[in-house]
Amino acid sequence: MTEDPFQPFMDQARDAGVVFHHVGPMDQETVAFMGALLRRRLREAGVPSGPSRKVFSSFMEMAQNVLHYGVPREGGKFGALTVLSTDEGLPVMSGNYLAADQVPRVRARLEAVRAMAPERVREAYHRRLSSDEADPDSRGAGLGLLTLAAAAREPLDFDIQEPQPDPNQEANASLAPSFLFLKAII
Amino acid sequence: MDNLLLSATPVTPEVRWLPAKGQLELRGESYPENVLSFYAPILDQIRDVLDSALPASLDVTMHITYFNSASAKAFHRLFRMLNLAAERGCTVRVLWHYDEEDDLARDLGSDIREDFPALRVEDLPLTAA
Repeated sequence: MTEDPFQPFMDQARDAGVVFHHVGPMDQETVAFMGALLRRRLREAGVPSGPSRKVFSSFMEMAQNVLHYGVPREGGKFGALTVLSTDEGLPVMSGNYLAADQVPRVRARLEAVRAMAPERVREAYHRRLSSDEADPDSRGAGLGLLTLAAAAREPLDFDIQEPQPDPNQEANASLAPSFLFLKAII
Repeated sequence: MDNLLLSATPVTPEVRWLPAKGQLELRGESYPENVLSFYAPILDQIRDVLDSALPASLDVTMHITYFNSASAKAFHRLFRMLNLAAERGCTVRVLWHYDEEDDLARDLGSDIREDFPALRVEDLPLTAA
């Protein structure tokens, strides 16, 4: 064996710009472990300290979303977390299930944050931080999305895919989870 | 006045609360899944001391290398409580350490300074060696 057998893996990941990628069940322990690995990958990829911090922070807020909103599957909260290095920057992306009854609230919040100019994001962050209102549906009191928006170089990108109603099971259609895709480019 | 000493974990900071010495230190990372269940007992214990035997002064050292948004909220609650103590006559000095490239930590320090004028917040950015 003259060639490093891992080379094809590394070549493919590099060609696709993959810094980090995980799809599967998660819990607090795996998220902490992924965080340590992500920091190492960012260092190895030569990402400077400033952007590297923003990627790590965005990754962790998205991971928190997966744990908080995710629907249990295969022994954890199932989700996808990806960090790329591309011509447009460092996209940090997540995918997770979202319970149907959370969709209107999450969509409204995402649309509001996406529409904010950068200076408004900072103001909204400070206002949320200082507000005493306890939001039982949102452990971070909405600060998470504002943290993502503040780190990103352009407005957040998101998509919420709602399940197609099944004519045979109309009564259960509202219980099927939706899917949230979120992207912040650092 | 009981001390509170917690070792750091990968997701929670080292906590040293030494009320007789007037010292509170938080060092490390802060992103537990349930931030409230980590910080609520700590804040309760500090509040008990501030309510029963207000110290003449407190030195608060914060050196959090990464904190998530829910932790930022918990820190804000902590400083709200310390600000009340300061308004009642306790001299509270906050040593706010952060990496100079950490925008989140710099901004949180400035929000705390703005929201809690009774605290003496010292901005201590660390430059990369």
